[in-house]
Amino acid sequence: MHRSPAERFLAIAIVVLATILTLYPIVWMLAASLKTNSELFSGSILEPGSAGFSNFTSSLSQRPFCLYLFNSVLAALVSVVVTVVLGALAGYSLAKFQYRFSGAVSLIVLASIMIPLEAIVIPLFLEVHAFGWNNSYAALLLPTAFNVVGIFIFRQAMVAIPNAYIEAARIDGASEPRILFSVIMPMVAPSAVVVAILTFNLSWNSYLWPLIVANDDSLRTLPLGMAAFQSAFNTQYGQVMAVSIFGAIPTTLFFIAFQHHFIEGVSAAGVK
Amino acid sequence: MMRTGSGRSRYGRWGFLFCLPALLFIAIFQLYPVLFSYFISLHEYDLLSPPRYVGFKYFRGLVTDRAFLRSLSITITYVVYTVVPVLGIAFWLGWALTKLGRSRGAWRTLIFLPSVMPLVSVALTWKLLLNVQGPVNDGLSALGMAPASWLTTSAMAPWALIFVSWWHATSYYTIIFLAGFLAIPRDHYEAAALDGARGWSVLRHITLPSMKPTIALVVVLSTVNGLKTFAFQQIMTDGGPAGSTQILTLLIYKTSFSFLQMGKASAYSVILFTGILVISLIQIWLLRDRHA
Repeated sequence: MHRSPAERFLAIAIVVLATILTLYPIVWMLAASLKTNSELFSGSILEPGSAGFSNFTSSLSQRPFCLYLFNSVLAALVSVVVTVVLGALAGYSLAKFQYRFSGAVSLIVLASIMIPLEAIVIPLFLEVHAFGWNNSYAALLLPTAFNVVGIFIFRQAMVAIPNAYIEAARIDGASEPRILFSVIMPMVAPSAVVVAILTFNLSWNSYLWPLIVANDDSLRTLPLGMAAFQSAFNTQYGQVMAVSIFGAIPTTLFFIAFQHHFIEGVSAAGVK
Repeated sequence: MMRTGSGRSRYGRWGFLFCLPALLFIAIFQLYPVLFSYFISLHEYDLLSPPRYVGFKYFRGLVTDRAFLRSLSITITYVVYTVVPVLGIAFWLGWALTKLGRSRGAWRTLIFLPSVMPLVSVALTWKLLLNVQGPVNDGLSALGMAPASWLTTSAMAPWALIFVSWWHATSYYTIIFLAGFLAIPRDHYEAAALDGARGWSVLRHITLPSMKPTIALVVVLSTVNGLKTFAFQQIMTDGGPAGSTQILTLLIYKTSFSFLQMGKASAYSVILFTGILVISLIQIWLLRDRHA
């Protein structure tokens, strides 16, 4: 690619400026969590605070944040398991089978991707109410557990697998579920990781649905607990930032460990 | 699409069985609620007394419903002022990233960070940054500009939320643009260089045409995501001050779960759903175009 020095200088300037603007709020959040209230809005962010970790210990002990964390992790894991299992099954079906209603099935799946949760919360709430799931983990976990996009990511990966593998396994006498789990799944493992990460992140950020169904404090997930802490202690700025960081730690660690898959999951949307 | 030759007769049954669990989930938690929301939108229902059929009363009422019309206009303003600048910033930032050498990976990681942060953490942090005595105002004063009451006046609050969405959304779409730029075949550029094309002319005749599908995708994705925004407004301003940041999702939430007007809120939902549906159909049409 032709690179003129002026173009390269411009590019570096844009990237550096954007990175500074991107990082500033994050650095500020980290610095603020270590400061006392009076230090927070005076002086530079780079001046070290004198609060130590007191904002963390005092804020996290005022509310049951370990329970919120447990609920969030549980919700994310249920969502990941449901999405990977149901997504792989349905993705395999769409990629490699033809049957009477297969056209209709792909249409239904495609249509369901376009249904935004934000537009169906009222009927969903009434439905969950009718199931008698009031204030229960079932109401919190199940209705939003399945991330339909998973079907498409699996389908895309499975379409690329040559049919010869499936036919050879059939000749060897393997059952159909066995073929999926022992032959196909190992081949699409990278896609399974991408699906798991996307779904985990989606669930971790889930806010509207838990807000509607988790009336009981013991059902609250981390985002709800964080927001509730903020409304109750909104002038304890350092503590609010400590709580913010607490909620960001799991996804940040996750990102550092699976960086490549994260970026791939996002990039896939742009290229495929 | 390749399928197993004998699939239809002998193995088709398995294909259907494999789809069944997903279909059940979709039917119970997505398709049924959609149909049910049309039903509720035709009824007056407050959860306490049984639903009463009122026909299209709520839909007819929309044209004179000031809360709804105001919210609709706030939503459209928010989406337009989010989508257009984010598209521009993410495009140029993605382009700039392609010009970096070995360090690209590290910059990309840093720029992606806002997408990794939980929405609530982002909202809480920006709520403090935009505080009257907060760092944003300090920065403005240092530059000789007047500080503003970002989240507490109805003139500034919609803009404050738009700025926050720029910060948050740009990172995600930059990565999509970067992937798009890197997918442009190298020989296109080499051919252009042989023809003596430089700078702007390469951008206009090679880069932009190749990036058209990615640009379209980002427009659609960011529009849909803009229409679905809820947490930022609910946490940072709760729709205020004086309703100035009450986007549709928040109006639906309050109408249903605070004021218990399930029918009316369902009519709002149907409008929101239809808007998102139309944009999603455009997306499918665009993506189909690319596979051909």
